[in-house]
Amino acid sequence: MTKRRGLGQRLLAAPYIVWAAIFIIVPLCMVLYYAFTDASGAFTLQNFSDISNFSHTFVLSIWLGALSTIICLVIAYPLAYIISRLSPRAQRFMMMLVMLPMWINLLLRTYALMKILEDTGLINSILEWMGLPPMHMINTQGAVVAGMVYNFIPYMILPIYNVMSRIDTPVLEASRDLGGNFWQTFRRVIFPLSLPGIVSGITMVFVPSVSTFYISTKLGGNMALVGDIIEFTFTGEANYNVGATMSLILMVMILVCMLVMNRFSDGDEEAMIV
Amino acid sequence: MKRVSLLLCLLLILSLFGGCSAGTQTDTATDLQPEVLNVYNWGVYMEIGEEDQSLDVNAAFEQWYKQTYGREITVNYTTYENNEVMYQKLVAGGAEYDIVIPSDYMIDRMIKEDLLEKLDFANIPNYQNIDDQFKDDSWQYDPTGEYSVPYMWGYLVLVYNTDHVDAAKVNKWDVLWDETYKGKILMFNNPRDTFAIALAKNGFSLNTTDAGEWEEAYQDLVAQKPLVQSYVTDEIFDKMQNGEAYIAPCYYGDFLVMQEEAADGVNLECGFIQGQTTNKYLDAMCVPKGCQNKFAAEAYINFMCSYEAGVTNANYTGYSSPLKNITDREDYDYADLPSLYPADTGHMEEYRYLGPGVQTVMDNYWKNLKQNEGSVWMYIILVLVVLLVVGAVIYNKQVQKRRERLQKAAREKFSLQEKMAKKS
Repeated sequence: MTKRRGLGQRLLAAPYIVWAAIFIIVPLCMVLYYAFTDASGAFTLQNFSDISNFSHTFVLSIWLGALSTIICLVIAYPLAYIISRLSPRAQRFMMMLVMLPMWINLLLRTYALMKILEDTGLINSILEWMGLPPMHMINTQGAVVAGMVYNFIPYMILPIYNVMSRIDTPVLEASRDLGGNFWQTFRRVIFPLSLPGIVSGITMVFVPSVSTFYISTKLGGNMALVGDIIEFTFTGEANYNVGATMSLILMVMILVCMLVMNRFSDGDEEAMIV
Repeated sequence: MKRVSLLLCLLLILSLFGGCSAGTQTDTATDLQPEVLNVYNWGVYMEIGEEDQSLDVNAAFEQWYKQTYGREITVNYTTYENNEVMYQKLVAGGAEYDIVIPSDYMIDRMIKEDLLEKLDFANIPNYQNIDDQFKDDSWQYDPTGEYSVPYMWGYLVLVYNTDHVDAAKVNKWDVLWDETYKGKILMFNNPRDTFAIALAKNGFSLNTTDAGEWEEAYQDLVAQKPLVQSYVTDEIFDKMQNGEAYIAPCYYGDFLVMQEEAADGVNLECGFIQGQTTNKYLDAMCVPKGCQNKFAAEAYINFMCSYEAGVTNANYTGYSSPLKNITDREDYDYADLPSLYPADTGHMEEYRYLGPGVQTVMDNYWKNLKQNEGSVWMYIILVLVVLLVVGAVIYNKQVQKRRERLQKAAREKFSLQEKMAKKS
């Protein structure tokens, strides 16, 4: 498996390796350092027992993250398939539509969504205009999940579309020629071939969903997710030690989830996020 | 003219060649470099010419500085969203600031932690414009008055929607606990202000160090949480102005902005707290340790205490100005609003630095308050999902093994056939 790489190739990788060392490895080491020390810098495990009473928040975050990941998958999968079967021109146009919201900053998008979902917001104004009873949407878990789905769905569509567009139409025709109905074609051909895309899509949606903090504050009202608590320990409390410990535990939890997910993808490089 | 620029070029070249040139020459060269003043202020807290025709106070200072001292200066103006962020940036180092404008309790803390420079009031003659009530001991944050010069002040009130809230109730903090307004109440998204309200509701000092009183305030906030629509910072403007929420605590200056910008059909009024404590706050200009240009910093403070800059900023922010007799000025927009300058401040208490112990207690209560219990269903479904995923992993492995076995068998069969073919 291991190919010897030439000097030139290694040199080309150097900028990224330096970048990764400074902005990924060093911060990770700092998180580790803060997590296992107290304010004076002495080794301690106190931080871990300090955060034990935040277990509810951790579970709630994972719950909402998982929920929005599943919803993203359910929406994105058929969409990606449909797009991948269109003409190249239509594909380009559809992908532009998918990417379009990402041209706008996440904070702005979330703030706009808040204005749409509010009791006096756009949706309820329309309902009122049509003479329908108002719907309370803002400051609920549903609103937070809606915010996550809205913000992160392109990360699900893109990788799935990528693998789907590489499935040649003749392959599907062959399946049909051999007597496979739609369901069999899907189960035996499309699904296995698209698995790597699904796995990387799940990773790319689940990770930011679980650790989100702005969306939950703006759309959840009096709800705080683990990201909000971490943000407060850093910016409000300046307690880097407890904040780092929470980040570390969150990272480990995400890592475990991802390792499990990668079991599905047969070690395909596409899905090797972790 | 030409000769001067020639000389300049020569000087520049000389200074480029480094230390070999004579001292006086390099001095002249550096004098021509514009000075820089790093100002670190709250967001939306100074008129910096965002709207057309409005005066840019920083540009006016640059001009004034040049006229007065004959030197170019550039104000490097950056903003923060709260005291804690500013404090951490200063303590962490890396960024240098010449002027910061923290609130009372943060100044209290920074003095105690030796983070501020003493000011040379000889460089701040306009200090005489500051009203006397800020120089006596009615404010505690800077007891000797050596470290800070007041910038703006204000106090906490209630803003409410007159169509939905009974005006008679809006003079006590208890209205924020009223079941009638469930889901229409906003609270601050920071522990200091939120806890202060709960403490004041119970008649405790806002700076209490009594653990029992903090516990009681915390329990009150827990009881209030189901009634609270949202814990907000700047969203309060949107939510009150559009009628999304009906009642909220806010600073009086912010109320004026909300009232002015409220949507059609939304009527906002202000309720003053009576018979209970409310918070008065003051933000003051300070020079942090490590300041690179203390003289210019003091000149800047001096300029901000002038009526020209002071009135402009007071008009812009809507907060109460500490300048003496500002209400007599014709160019002051809020001259006819006596509530901005209440005569009786006896029931108002400023925040003091709580010290690390009480601070931690408060922060921990706050984090607990913000936590949400999940429902039982959530746990059941999560466990099911985990089981499902584990099941799928095992199934996947089994399928893989079977496939490998089949492939192996097929390969063996194939090689056998090949051998047979060769033999024959």
